Amino acid sequence: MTNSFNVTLAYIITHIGLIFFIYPTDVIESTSQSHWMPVVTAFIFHLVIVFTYLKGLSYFEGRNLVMIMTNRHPLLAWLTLLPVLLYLLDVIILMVRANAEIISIVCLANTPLWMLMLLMLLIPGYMVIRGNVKSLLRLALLISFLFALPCLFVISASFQNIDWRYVLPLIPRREAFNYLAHPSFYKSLFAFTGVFLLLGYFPSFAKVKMKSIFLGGLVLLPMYLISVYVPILTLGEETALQLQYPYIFAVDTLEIDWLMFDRVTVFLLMSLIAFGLLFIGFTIWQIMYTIKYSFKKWNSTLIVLIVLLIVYTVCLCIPDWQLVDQFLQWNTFLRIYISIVTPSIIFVLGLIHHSKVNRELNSI
Amino acid sequence: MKPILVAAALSLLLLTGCWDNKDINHRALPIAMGIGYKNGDYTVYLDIPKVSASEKGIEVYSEHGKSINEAIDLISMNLESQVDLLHLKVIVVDKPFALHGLEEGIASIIRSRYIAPKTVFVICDQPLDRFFKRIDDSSNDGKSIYDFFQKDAGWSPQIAFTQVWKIFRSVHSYTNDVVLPIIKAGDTTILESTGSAIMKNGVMVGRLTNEQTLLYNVFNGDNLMGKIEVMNHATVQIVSNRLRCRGRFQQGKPILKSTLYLKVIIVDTTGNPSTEKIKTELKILVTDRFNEIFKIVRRDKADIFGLGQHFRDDFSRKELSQWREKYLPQLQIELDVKTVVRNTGNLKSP
Repeated sequence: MTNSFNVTLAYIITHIGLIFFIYPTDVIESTSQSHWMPVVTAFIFHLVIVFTYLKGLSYFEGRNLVMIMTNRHPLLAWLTLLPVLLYLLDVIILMVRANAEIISIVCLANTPLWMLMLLMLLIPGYMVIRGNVKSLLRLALLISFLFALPCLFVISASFQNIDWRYVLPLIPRREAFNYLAHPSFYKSLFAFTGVFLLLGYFPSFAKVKMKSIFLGGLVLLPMYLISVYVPILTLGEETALQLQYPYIFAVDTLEIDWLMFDRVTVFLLMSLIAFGLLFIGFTIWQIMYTIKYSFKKWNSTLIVLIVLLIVYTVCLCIPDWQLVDQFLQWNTFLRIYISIVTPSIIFVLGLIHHSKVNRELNSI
Repeated sequence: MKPILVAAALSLLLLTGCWDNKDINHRALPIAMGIGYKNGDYTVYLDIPKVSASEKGIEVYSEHGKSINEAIDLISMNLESQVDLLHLKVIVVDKPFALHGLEEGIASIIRSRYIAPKTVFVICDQPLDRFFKRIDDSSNDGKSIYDFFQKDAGWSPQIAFTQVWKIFRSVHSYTNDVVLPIIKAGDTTILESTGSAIMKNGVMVGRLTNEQTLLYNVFNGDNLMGKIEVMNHATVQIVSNRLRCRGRFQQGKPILKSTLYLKVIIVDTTGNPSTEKIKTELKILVTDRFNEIFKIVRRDKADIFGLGQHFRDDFSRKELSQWREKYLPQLQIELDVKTVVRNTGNLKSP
């Protein structure tokens, strides 16, 4: 059994890999004031679904999502696992395409996109083929050891140019609640729903402690707030709204009088990409595991290669950023489905299982 | 097992991240860029230091174009190496461009990402061709314009210091404007500061003198070791400055209560003024000079101090968007200056 510490670490850094690029853009688009509200709302939503999910799983003691579902009625299994599969596939496609675009914009302007995307797929693919989930969890520890420090350094340095008064007004006015009707808010939920499914795959391999996951969540909340508020405090809402990647731009404005840190953005980007690669690795593994143990027992290497091929082909077929954005928007329904329906099903099944076990115990 | 190892080894070669890379000896790395504007036509000057061991000095290239990027492209085309603006440190624009408005120029800089957002922006008081000719002629290593604006080199507190991203913020923000330094080629020195320009939404609307710019920097909280002359009796050096502001509304009019805390060292005295006298004289001087600047701010409706920031809580978004036009001209400021004379130098206080 792998340590629950590694699980929490993986939970934290895979989220961080998701937060800093597109998430602030969506939140800043979704409202013009009191930006902490959409962040906190989505965060509470995240905590609720994680709680429901983990609570449901805890009734099954050491069995994971796929094991639970394969013993059920086929229709129920399909209703749960197929959307999950589709969603995970979708997540990888978006993640690979978006990250490649960001690398190309920030540092490797001459490198063709197909090469970057190949890189973003081959490394995680290799991680999954060579090792199982336990080695991925150990990798989480290694990657945090290597990249957490530069990442934290840049994040703390990003406060250099802020003007605290931009934070006002903190107390929301009535129109501040409009974000609930804004599509960008639902788009921004991707940063909260991308990883939590993973926790359901762990129980048969590693200990998942609800308490330590919530502690990890406490680390994440400041990250979400920083990614949104640093650009706003540096530039103001009206200016931050103009930018494609507000946080990256805010980091670009930093001045550190040491030649090595002339372009400190690159440090941040490298750390975030490393976290992102781990995230893609985990997601590929989830897909592989689901297919292998619920549909057909193919060779895992074969499944991974097929998944990589599909993802790569779709990524190549996306010509522009507009379509990526559209994808993220269409994805909303699937996202809401898996973030509400999947945890609820697990929770209900868990309750039923629990009462059945209790009855059996009582009858003895 | 084996094929995977081979694949991994191959990917080391393929995935190095270097693609169509140009070596550093095939790149031209300009230190400063000049942008002139005339009837929709841009002229771009690039100040590129010579890098070979035998020759020193700089080379200035220029080209016209319908856009800034087109002009840069033309220079790059005619140059034997590729122009790489990544390490550009200073952008000099001429006055016609500043008066026309920098909005589009700034937007294209931010969009293209070729130029870092922390590049310093400067306005030139004379035609750029003459300015760059003077820099070209003066036998130096071409870094003078860079050093002039380096905070750890030749920068002095009478000179405004504004980066590209701040102008970008000023173009879009409701409550923040900037000032840009104005320079020209000097008589004895290579460069000479002639004050600074007030930029409202990226358009030059007024000017400040060097002394006013010093006070502007003090108010903006830049920690500086600037000198201020106090009337006729003493010269003091400001060693620390802090500004506290509190905005409120009275009968629908914005009022800002500000207190400026100064710590000074006495550098020079004439006659035998008491410390108290120096303090009151400093207070009068600072207040007078501030009122002068503030009068300009109200006239130009350009919020270079970011005063609207103190009223963010009192306005809705819509009202805030009218801050510059509607509320700034009505703003009353009550300024109080509190001074501490930290020491009187090597001599005892008179």
